[in-house]
Amino acid sequence: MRIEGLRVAGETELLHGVSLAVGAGEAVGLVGESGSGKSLTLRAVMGLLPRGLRVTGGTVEVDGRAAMIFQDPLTFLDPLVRVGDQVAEVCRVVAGLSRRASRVRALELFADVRLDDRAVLARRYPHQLSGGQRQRVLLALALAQEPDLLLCDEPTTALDVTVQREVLDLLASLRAERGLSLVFVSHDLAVVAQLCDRVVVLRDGEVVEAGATRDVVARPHHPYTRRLLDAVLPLPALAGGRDG
Amino acid sequence: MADGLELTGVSVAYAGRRVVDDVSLQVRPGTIVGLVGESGSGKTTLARAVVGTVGLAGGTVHLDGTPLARRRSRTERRAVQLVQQDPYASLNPLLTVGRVLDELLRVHRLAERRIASDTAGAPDAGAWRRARCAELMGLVGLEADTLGRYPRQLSGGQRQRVAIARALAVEPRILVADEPTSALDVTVQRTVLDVLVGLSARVGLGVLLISHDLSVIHAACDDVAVLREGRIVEHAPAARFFTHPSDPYSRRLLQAVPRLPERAP
Amino acid sequence: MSTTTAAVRPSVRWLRRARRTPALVAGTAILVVVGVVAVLAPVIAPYDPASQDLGNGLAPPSAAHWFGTDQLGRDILSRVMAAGAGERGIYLAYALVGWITYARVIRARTRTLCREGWVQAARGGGLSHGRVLFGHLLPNVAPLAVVLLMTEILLIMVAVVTLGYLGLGVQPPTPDWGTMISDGQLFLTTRWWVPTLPGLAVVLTGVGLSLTGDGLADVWRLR
Repeated sequence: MRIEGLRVAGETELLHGVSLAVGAGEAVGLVGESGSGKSLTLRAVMGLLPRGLRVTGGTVEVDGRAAMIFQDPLTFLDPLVRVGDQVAEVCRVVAGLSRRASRVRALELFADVRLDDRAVLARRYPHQLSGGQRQRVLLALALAQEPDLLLCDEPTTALDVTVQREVLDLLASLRAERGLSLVFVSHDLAVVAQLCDRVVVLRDGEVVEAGATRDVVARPHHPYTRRLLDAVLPLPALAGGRDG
Repeated sequence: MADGLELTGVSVAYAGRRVVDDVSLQVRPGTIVGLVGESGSGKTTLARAVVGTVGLAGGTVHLDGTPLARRRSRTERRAVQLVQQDPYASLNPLLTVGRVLDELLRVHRLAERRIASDTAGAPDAGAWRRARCAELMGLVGLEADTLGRYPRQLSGGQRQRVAIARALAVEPRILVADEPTSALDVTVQRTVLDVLVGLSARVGLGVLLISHDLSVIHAACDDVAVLREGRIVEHAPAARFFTHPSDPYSRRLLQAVPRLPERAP
Repeated sequence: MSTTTAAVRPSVRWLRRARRTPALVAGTAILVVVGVVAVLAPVIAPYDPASQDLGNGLAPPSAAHWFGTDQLGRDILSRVMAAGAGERGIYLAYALVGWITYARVIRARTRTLCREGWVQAARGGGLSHGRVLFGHLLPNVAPLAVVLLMTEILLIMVAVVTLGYLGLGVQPPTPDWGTMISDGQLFLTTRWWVPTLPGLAVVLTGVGLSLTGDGLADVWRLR
């Protein structure tokens, strides 16, 4: 995916020429505080801008298919349809499968996203699932579209820290297994650092810094980046290591 | 009898289930105790039980040695104050910050109580209140002109600090902060936490800081208690907890926190 | 009482915003005109609404009779003005019955507000039930209550007019828009002014109420 000079405006301009590129199999993090325009950028790529906003300049090129997952799965899942059926419907539309074949495929996808008790869960409604389970269902929905690029809009922000870890691990392994490209939006630099090779820092609708994650974290150039890094509350190292 | 807030065997039931189960902990004046819990752990219910919004199914809550009943008197309500998570719903949209604080000072007749013990100068309740409002703003690091603003003119971080000032206005002994920074931007979180830490030291306030975010707890708290499914599974001084947690659940929580790679000094 | 000095008093700011809201200005203007005419009808009506002139029935609008005359030669303009005041008894009856639905909506809104953080904080800060209810909740619910009131009045007006149309409301010879429409509907294609002008009076009042309600909702940012 490549974005060049993207501008989005409603009554006022909200994105002032954002440029960003993601190569095949790459994971790029988009970091910023509220109002920075990070979610808006993803939505512009998917053509999902809220009412009243439109792209007023720049170009967006996506090579292949793009799917998106969101922060609040509840608002993106149909509350009246069982989750298994929702995923199956996407499979039917995308791959032209028969009803039975799409149900099978949906269960396979549930396995891919590491949902336990797949058969039981597939018959549940969204409000009967936990936050982590719903996010996995949303991920299954996205994967059902057989995307080359996955756009993630703060998918773990509302999750417990242990569940967040699992979802991030899941995204990392899916990326490795399928060669997916990722664009991961978050306000949390530490989360982005864990998952992404490169990071782009957004502020008030503009890119202020971009580069390899390790470089940006170790030697930030822009004062805003430095402020963001300083604001991250540190935790002392855990004795016995992180995986003990 | 101990100083400050003391919970002994506190339980809260909801629809037949124990949402808070046999919780005991203590918050001494001048200290900040952190309560870590994931969603569903019962932390918000515990906060409500401490503040008296919800009744206990068992156990007691003591403040400076005296038990606090479910139906609290005005004085008892003043003593334990709550700061909530959502800064955007915590202030009456029709009132300026100054009016909110002034009303609290008037209702509790704080000017009259304080001036009576102050011999210098002619007593003027209005002037005392104005000065006190400005002082409260100072305590939370806000400019005095914030008093004239409406909530919609304030940012999330400013609103949270106003909520803290409002809690302070009634001169509480204990402050319960339920996820006070969760809805705030990262650069603002530290400001609010610094306010809480500073208040604890300067005013001798005891603070119960509830959060799911371990780095927030680490930044502000002296002691850490971990709540899981309504029970306390670990309670340790912060210094030890973050490097040598004893409970496997605590360890899992700490391992799950994403951390930044090393920065240049 | 306030420890602060706002640059401009809130009520002045509100008036400024109100003046700039087209719906509110138009709606209020209409209601004021309708109200004044209805109240002053006995004084300013050109003719006695009940006086008949059988030789001059169904006369079209002219300099002498701006709205023309009905089948009994009565001046329609005077009757429309007189009917504007309405039969107080019927409106009162409706209000006594209809307030329940209205109250339910207001109550629901108040209960929702109760769950907001600032209400709980007010109680937690030691403010009494009374103070929270009247000093805090009421001012926050009042805008909704007033806007809904406009709709309520409009609905009552339509109901009364409908009753009159069906012959179930105000009895002759008291003039009533509903009865005037019903009596005149035979002449809709031949002597259009007889049913249409009273009908327009109904529409105008309804539009006035509606615009005022919308305008207030805009000013109070309820939409």
